[in-house]
Amino acid sequence: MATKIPVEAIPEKQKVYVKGGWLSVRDVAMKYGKHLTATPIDILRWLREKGEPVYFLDFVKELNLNKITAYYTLRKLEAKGLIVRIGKRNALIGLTEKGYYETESATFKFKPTMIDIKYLTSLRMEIQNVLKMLEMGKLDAVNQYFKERATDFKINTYNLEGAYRLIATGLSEYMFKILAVDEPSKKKSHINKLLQFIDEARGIMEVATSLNIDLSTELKLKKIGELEGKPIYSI
Amino acid sequence: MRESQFTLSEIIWIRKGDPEKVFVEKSKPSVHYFYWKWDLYKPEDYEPIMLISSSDQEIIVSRYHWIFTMVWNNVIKIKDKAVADFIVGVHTPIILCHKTIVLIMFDIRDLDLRNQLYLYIILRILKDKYEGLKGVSEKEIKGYLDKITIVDSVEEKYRFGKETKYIILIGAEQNKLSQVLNRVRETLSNESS
Repeated sequence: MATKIPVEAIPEKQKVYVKGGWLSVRDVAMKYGKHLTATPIDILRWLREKGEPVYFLDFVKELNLNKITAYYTLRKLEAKGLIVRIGKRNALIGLTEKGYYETESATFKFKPTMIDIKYLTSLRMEIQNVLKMLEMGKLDAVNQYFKERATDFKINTYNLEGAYRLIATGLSEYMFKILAVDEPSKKKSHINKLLQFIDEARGIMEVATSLNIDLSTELKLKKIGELEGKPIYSI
Repeated sequence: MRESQFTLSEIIWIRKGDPEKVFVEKSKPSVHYFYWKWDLYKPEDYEPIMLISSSDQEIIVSRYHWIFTMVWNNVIKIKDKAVADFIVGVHTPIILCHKTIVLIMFDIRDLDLRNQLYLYIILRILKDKYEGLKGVSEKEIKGYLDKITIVDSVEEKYRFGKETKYIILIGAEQNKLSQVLNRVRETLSNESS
């Protein structure tokens, strides 16, 4: 029997006949000394499942990967900020916050264009309906709604840029604040703050549209000095 | 209330925007509150503009989204007055300046996401729409004398001049920051006392 590899990320649909039994492709590869390949998302998911950083040599061994291919894949992931490599020889590989959420976003890609005035208007209506649910005492349904929504926005902040990222982060933060309180009156107060934030975001989008300003552009502020103990930035 | 026409003068020209009224407090005539009944989504929009003048320079101070103080230097002048554009919808004033150096003086990490978003859009407007502005023609500007209304005081919540924690300076070189800032603070503190 081949050694069991605790890797859920590698597809295991195919079984191979080996001496009267069926083994997974992974087990066969290990048994016969053949390397496998892992996609970047497989690697990220595996690291997330591991729950802690792993050494490069353990990583290639456990995933049964070719060292050179794995090295280059990791370099690409590091360049995207999805993992970090700590140290040089047999580097320790750790999953970054961005990489952590990328594992979820891979199944729910969020297009930056999704956040527009129309979208925020429909989100506002949706939240007003949730507010009605709160008034009817359906606390579980309210929490479920904000839990799902807040997670969606949190995950997708990494796929967004410029003002879109600020808006998604803001939506997520306001929703987590709603979830953090139990008392209905406090929830209602936080929901109203969220609605106000949506109005403001819509206003900013309307201004940007009328002035033909692309909100996905990142704004770079450069620190150029200090005065009275406060930093001074220039654009 | 039309007495204003005989006792007060305009402090700027308007290039874009059309305020419904311009309130001026009897006791503090250096601040003009440009007023619209509606902003994009909220009622009662007061946009204060104050002129700080001296023999060597003229500085204009305005407010942006309640917490930001905008300090405009090296302003473009036509017939001795600066020129303002009020941004469509939200009516934030943009004073046209010869130089578009923008300096921000506060720790941006202090800002919550709402205000980060507001800072983002105002900086993008200044950079994308006003950088490299060549000049303004006399034909483009208008006055607002007929809209001035003198009042005893504007509501306390709309009054201008106390908060200078978050400062955005436009058109000022870094080496003149301290001087400009002291001047603005001094004037604002006299205005609000």
